[in-house]
Amino acid sequence: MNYNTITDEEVLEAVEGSLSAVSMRRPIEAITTRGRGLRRRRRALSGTAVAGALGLSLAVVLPLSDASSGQTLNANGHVVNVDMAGWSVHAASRSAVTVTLREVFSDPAGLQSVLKQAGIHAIVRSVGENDPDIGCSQRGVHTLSLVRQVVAVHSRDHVAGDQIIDIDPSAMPDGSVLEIVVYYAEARVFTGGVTDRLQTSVVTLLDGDPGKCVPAPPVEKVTPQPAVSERK
Amino acid sequence: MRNRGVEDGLEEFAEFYQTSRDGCLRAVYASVGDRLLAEELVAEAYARAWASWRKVSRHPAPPAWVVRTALNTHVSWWRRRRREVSWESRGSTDTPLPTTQAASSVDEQVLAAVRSLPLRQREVIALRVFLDLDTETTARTLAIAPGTVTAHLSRAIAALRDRLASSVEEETRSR
Repeated sequence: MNYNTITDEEVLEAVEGSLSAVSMRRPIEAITTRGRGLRRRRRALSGTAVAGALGLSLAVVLPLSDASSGQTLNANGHVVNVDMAGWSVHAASRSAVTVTLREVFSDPAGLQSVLKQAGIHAIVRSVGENDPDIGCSQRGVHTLSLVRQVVAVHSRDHVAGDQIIDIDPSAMPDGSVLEIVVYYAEARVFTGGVTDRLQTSVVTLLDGDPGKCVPAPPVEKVTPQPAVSERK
Repeated sequence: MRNRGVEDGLEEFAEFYQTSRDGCLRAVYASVGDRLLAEELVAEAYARAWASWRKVSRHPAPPAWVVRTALNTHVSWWRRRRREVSWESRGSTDTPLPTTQAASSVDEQVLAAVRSLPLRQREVIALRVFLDLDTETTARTLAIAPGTVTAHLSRAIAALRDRLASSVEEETRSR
């Protein structure tokens, strides 16, 4: 074949033909057995949220899988409708803002910025399991028990799905800050180095800007799932 | 009357697996460049699909979900290992391929050309060719803009044509 003269379509056909003899040999029983194991482990791990030393918090554990992208529509004031690959924010009114954390969360700084446009002073962080910030704590600020009047956390699906955070900004005391921390936890259970990952989010209402996080030993805490938990 | 629920889901999933598995494997194989690694990644991605079937079955392109999940797993694995598993040298734990699936059953010249592409161009080629995804769905799957998909595809095709033409010329000269 003279590759200097072939069309784009013929190049793609050559690529397609190059792997035409390759087929998946894995029996479906092996796939579904592994899938059931994943479900069981998710349920087991769902009770081990890394709520950490964040004080009064709301937490939900979700499995992590794929991501999606979307378009952004933004407006001034408190009317905000933004859909991004890792999250979305929809503000219908001054007292009703819905934040969706996708199964693969990304761009915490962008979310923080959009929440500000929606009238919410928030600190958004994303922390990996090996990140030294996973066990850090803030000095000079206190958690507020009003969090349940400000925030409701839930998911559409107990096994898998996006995490929804409903926020009432009008219920936030003056000067208070909503802290949203998204943790990534990995569990190595599969031969060959492939791991499953869980995404855990913790929402806390603070009485001021937390500033820089100070490293502290991680605290093990078991949090029921999927129910919203409150820690005093 | 059929019992709706898990077993209905299993039947649907089994059909999905049967019809999409080869395309997904080829897409991931073309992207990651290692046959055994690709099968491990795709199997894991299908297992995750079954674990979350209620959600995945509603996805606009479930095979794309599988490929994206497999590629994401590969990326996270790669980051941990600090190196990409090379096309030529498999890890020491790999077992030989069965004869029917040996490397000789694929067009090495074309695959070498695909292998030479940057990762993102390989991924675009894999999704467009082996899953037959349109530009919009490819863009959503890779979380990039449709225009970026078109640009990657155009560059990839041009690079493949050059690479394949060069290979043919070298072969001709060496005879």
